[in-house]
Amino acid sequence: MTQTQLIELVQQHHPEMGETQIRLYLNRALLEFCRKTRILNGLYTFSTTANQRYYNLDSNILEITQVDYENYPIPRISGVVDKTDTDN
Amino acid sequence: MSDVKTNALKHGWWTERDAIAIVKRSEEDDNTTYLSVEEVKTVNIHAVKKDESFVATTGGDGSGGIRMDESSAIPEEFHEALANYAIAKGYELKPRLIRQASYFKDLFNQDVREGKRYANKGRDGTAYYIQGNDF
Repeated sequence: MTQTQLIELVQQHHPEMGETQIRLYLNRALLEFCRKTRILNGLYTFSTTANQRYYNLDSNILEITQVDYENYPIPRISGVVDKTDTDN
Repeated sequence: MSDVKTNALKHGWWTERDAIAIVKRSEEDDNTTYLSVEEVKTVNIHAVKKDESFVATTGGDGSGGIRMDESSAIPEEFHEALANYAIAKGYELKPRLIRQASYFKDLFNQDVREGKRYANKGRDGTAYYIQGNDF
C-alpha cells in the first residue's frame, strides 16, 4: 500500500485527522514495527582510513549483527577500554 | 589460513557514541592493546535496520524518504498494520470510543507477532538458530 492509500484508510475512521498527524503516527508505527520485529536487514559498506578509529553509523541502523573486515567476520570487543579515545 | 584471513581476524569492533570503532588487536606479553587501523580496507556492516520515514512529497528519484506514491519496504502483508496503529491513536483521542483504540492496537500487535515469525524464518522455510559463542 502506498502512503496515500494508508492515509485514506486512516481517514475512513478519522475524517477529521489531517495528513501531517496521520504521517506522524505512521512513522511511529513503522519505527516500532521494524524495531520489534527486526524484519529489515541491510548491508553497509565503507573503507577504513589510516589512523582513524571511529566511523559514524548510518542513522537507519538499529542493531549490528555482524562486521566483516575484508569480507571475514571479526569479533565484537566487549568490556571496558583502558583509556577513552575522543580524537576520532 | 590465508594471509588476508589471518590479518582480518586480528581486528575487532565495538560501538560507542553512535559510531563504530574498528581496531587491530596487538598482544604482547599479557597485554592486549587496540590500535587504530593503518590500512585502507573494506568493512561490511550487517545490520537490522529501520525503514525510511514517510514524507509529504510526491515523485522524484525515490531518495529522502517514502513519498506519497511509494510504499514501505516491509512486506506488503504488514502494511495495514501501520494504518491500524494510526487508527488506534485516533480513537485514543475520543474518550467515548476508547475501546475501539484497544481493538486496533491489538490488530497492530498481532501483526508485530506475525512479523517476528516472518523475520525469524529463512526464505527456505527453516528457522534461524542462535549459535552459542565462547567469550
